[in-house]
Amino acid sequence: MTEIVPPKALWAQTLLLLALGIGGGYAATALGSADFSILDPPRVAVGSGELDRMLTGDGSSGAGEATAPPGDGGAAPSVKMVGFLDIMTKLYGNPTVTFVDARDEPSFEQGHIPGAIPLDHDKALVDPTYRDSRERHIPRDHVVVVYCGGGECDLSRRLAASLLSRGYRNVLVYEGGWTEWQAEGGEKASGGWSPPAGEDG
Amino acid sequence: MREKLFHPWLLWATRWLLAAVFLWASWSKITDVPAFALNIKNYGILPIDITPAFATGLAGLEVVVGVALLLGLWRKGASFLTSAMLVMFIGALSYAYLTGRSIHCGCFTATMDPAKAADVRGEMLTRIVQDVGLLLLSLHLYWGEIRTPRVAQ
Repeated sequence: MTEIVPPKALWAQTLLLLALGIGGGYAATALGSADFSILDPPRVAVGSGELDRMLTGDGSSGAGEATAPPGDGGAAPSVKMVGFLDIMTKLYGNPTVTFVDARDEPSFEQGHIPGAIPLDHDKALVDPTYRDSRERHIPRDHVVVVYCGGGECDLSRRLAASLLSRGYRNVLVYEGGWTEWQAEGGEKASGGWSPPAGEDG
Repeated sequence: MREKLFHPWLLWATRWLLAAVFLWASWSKITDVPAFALNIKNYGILPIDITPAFATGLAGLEVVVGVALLLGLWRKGASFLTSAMLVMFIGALSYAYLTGRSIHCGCFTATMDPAKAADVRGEMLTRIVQDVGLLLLSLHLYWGEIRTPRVAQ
């Protein structure tokens, strides 16, 4: 016959392992000076003069200063924010500006900013082929405006940080996103995206 | 039947298999904790403020539990913790799947194998099934470890 071992040994061992594991993890992280800023990149509103320089090609957003890919020990580049007014007066309809939609494809198809290129952030994280196929249509010398749903959605900031770390220099985030765009009466388009004629998807 | 199910050799094999899995899984996490924290953030469960601490603690715990299982130390506690972690992994991955997310679980690597990227949600289901299998092994080990024979009078 068998009997169950009293729980004292079980809980003592469990607590000991928890202490060793969590303590060891912190020690290892501290020794390696882990940088968690990739989780929440710092954000700053783009200044009017800076925006004009970006559009005239006189300078980057400044966020290109730190271009180390996330997780490589380099500081996460600052993500610059842009508002609806600046978008309507300087960016929307400008041939040197590309809008990028960070939401999933079904959301994009239901409605998006006209001319925007869909780049599903979550899908791009796990499928480099998909990511590269869409980035091929985002000119690196353009001002790139990334948006998502707005409100609590932070896909746009994360996608912007990713683009900056991959060498894009002029990347802005429209934090108000699709929600604000609709509320402000911005033009809308719907349906899927297809690459321009003569280019691969 | 019960004695065969909890034969020492079978428990030994289960322990070593679990040790190998947890040590293998912990390697990519402990060597790049920020990337692992990003995987955890993608689940959309934890507040971002505690995600770094959670990732750090979990990565370290997987290493220590794996080593403990490998060396046969504190087997009761180690098997209890592996079972608890697997229940947590299954729960988190199931939550992400049911809420429509398409994410890489971060179970063994920080990024997904491109060959599997075409069916992210299918891969999530596969991971859930694999974790259920590991949970059964872990529970087998746990139950085997907390049983002790009564000395004959």
